Amino acid sequence: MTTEVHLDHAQKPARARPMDAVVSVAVCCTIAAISALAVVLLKRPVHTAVGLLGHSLAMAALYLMLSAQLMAVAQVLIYSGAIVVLFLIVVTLLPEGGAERLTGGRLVAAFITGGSILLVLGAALAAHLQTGIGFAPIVGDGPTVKQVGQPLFSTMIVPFELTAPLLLASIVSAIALWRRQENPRAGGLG
Amino acid sequence: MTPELVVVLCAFFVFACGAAGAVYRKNPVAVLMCVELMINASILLLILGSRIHSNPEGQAAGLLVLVLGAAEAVVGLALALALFRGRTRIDIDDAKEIAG
Repeated sequence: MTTEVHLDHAQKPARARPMDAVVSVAVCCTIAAISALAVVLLKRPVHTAVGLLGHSLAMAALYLMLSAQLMAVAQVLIYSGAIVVLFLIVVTLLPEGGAERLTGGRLVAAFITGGSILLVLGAALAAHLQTGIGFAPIVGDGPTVKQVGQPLFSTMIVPFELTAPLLLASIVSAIALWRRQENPRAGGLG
Repeated sequence: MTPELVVVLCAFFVFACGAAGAVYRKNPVAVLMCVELMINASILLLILGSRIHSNPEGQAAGLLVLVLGAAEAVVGLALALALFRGRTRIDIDDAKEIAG
């Protein structure tokens, strides 16, 4: 009950004037785009991880603007909290901190890949906008946590329950991969 | 320009950045981070669609994709550590042990 009261307060910015909404969304999108570029272009893996952290936080802010409070909290807890820290731990364990020597050929291939994807997606968007339908404006408040949880326990129960064995399998495989390269010690389990 | 269009354009750009980065980088950790960028862009579009159509199932699907991204990061990082921990140079092209 307390959660719903807090969410109602949090949804107030969604009813801001359209121009304000565009500006605030554009600011968050710019931060997300610049930090995404930083993830790709910065050489040192630690800097790349910090870029990913900034990107993740900008995304959480965007989710809040779209009245997706549950997703914003999950993004901060799972991505900014767990995954970025996991990346940093792995970077410290890699030789030379994971330094790499990048070549010009790869840069050209990256430009072609990114450019062609942008071209295809842009063409699809332009085709959609030409139909005149456009995007329906966002009206009203977003779904509450209860409303988001309902499909998870009804129509999407199978994929939701499958996430538990998926996470368990990933943990077991991570441990198995690590133990494979570990030297067997006398008296140890290996 | 509407806020919805701005979000869609941002998601497209981030997805393209992630794909380009996955091709450009040689460090497996950086490649995984670029894949995470692509996953983030897809989640953003799912949430925008859910909001536009007032359908909470989009957000629920976004949560599932978030968990999928976490599982992918765990396995990918364990694989990267197992392959490159004993080496002096980090290059994802050198990982010939996992070739079929």
